[in-house]
Amino acid sequence: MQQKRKKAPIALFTLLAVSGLFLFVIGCTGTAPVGWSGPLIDKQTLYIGDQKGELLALNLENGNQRWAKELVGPSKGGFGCFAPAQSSSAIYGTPAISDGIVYSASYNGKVYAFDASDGAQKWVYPPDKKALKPIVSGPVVASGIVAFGDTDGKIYGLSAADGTEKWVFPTQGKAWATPATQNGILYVPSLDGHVYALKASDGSPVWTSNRVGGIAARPALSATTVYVGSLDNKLYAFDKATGNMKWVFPGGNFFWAGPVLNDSLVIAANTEGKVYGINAETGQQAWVWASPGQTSISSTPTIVNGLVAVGSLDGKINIIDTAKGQPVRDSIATGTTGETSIKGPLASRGNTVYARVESGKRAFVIGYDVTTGSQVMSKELIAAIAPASETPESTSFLNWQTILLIFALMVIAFLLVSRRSVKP
Amino acid sequence: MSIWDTLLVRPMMNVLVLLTNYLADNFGIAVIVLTVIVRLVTLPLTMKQLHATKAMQSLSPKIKQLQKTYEKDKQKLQEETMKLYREAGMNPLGCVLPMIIQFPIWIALYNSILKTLGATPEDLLGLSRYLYGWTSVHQAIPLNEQFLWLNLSAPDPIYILPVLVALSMWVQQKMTTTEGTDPSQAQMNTMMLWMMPIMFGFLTLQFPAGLAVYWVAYNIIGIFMQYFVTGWGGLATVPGFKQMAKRQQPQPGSKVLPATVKQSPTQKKVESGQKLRRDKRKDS
Repeated sequence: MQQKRKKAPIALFTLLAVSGLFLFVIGCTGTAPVGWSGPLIDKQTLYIGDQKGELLALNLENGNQRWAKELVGPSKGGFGCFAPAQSSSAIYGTPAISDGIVYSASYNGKVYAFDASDGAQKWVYPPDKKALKPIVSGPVVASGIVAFGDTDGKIYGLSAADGTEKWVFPTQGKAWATPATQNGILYVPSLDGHVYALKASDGSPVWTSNRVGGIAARPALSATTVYVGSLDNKLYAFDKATGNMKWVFPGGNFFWAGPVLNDSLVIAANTEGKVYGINAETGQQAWVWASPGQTSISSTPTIVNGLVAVGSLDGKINIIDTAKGQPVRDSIATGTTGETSIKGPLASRGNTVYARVESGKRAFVIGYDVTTGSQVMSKELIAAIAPASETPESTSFLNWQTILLIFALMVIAFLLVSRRSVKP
Repeated sequence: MSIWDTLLVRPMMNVLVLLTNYLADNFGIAVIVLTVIVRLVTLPLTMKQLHATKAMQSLSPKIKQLQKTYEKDKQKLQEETMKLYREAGMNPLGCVLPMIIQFPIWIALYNSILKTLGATPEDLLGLSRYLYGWTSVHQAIPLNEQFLWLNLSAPDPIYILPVLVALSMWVQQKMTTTEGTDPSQAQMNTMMLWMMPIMFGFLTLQFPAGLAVYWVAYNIIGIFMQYFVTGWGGLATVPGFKQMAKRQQPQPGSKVLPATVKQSPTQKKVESGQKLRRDKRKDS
């Protein structure tokens, strides 16, 4: 009978432990940051970030690796659900290059500068074990300054030569969009719904636009206008000199991808799976094309040989005639599994479009000739590099050893309570 | 999108975003308001559960008496206990079934809070799949994560919420504790009383603060509901609450029930069952 008496509490304890584990798992169902760096092409080299936080330099002709560098950052510790996010070196922004130096920013809160020829690290910001809040934006170089935004809403201007901090400009929301630049002015959108025009040299504001919906995408710039897509389902055009709104174009879902310009058209894609050709001056719709199955589009398109290449979340690339808004060929399927997707921006050189494709847990950079539809490059993004020499240190006391200790204490507490409540 | 997401998670997410938009862009208040709404929607089930608990509590003196009478005969004790439940028209699972039915709703609200926060770029992008086409919903994105001292997408940095979650849960558990049960039941009561709050407090250390706000709001509403149906319950044994509980007890000779103790249908069944047993004994 004593055994029966003990079985019920043990069953309840097991139920509680299983429930606790279930809640733990469900509580951790937020997506871990993986990144979606687009390719950067300079001369005969393609630079791209992989999903493990490594920057790769690949030969454009044959896809062979020239060099690879791990973007090592300090592990911020944390435990349970937040350990993967806080220590992630995911790369979201496309790298930037200027004067033989390639720059890349990481979710681990650091920005890196490498010699483009051999990958030798020039500098890292912040130095040592410090880190900013996670960086999603890509870096941009203007007037000798490397500019980018972080999750804390701050826009940083660093010296491109040595990485010293020159200025910081605060915004009211996460600065996840990669800035655009022209003539020494940075155009920086923020998730607070404003577009900020800043002087690249000192970060002083030139103008701030009226508030619209949150903006996560890089703007497109013409001679007179700044075009941005917003999470309030609209595409906006602002006067480049004053920041006044010129027109607004309504869509059906997030304009997450950045718009691109081709002649007199702004071409913008949204997560409703539609691509719009819009008159750049008036904001009137010229055409609209819907992806097969209206698959979400979050990848910034690219102009290739007068056509626009669009990548979608089903891993397909569509080539669209910008005059008519119709595809010139069948969709190019970049993967064979149902899990293939394209999230990062596309790039192009000549007749070839390049994209970072995720296929299950693997990532590839692929190149397709848009005139023939044939594949010219396919390289799995696995860096062949030596292990990092710097070992990340946990800076938090709440590591897995502590969790185990706390759990052990809970078990001991349960045993003590059980002994006291069972009467002899 | 799965049926779970379509029927439960997606509507809750959109209501959360809509509430945030209309509550001065305050996601924390929206979480609290939605918790109140969910509690109101599940009120009939909750009241059934609370009345069943109250009925169980009222039977506990009888159960204690049976334990003394059949101390040496456990099988007879079990038979008489089940007979008592049957005569009172009670199902011992009456407390548990409403809780099980509410469980998917809790989990859906839990999921929607996590997804709506959009802490990582992947999460924020993923929101586009869940939001309805309402303009007022899309205008609110991204949501303002700041609420008081908290970033709702990250754990509480000063650990106040884990303490509040554990404490509110302990108070609620204590109020449902019944007396006069066998040692096994007492052991389980003690375990529920301590393990649940410790476990949830521990989980709160690492979950986004938005979830913790939901738990605290949920527990506090539960405490109020419990008080109006069952009174302080087991909390009356805690020093400081004893006097409050005494003032609420019916005075000897008083024919008026205290305002906090209401006769539920289940309670009426229990009392009529007890009257039946008394009459049978008189006849025999």
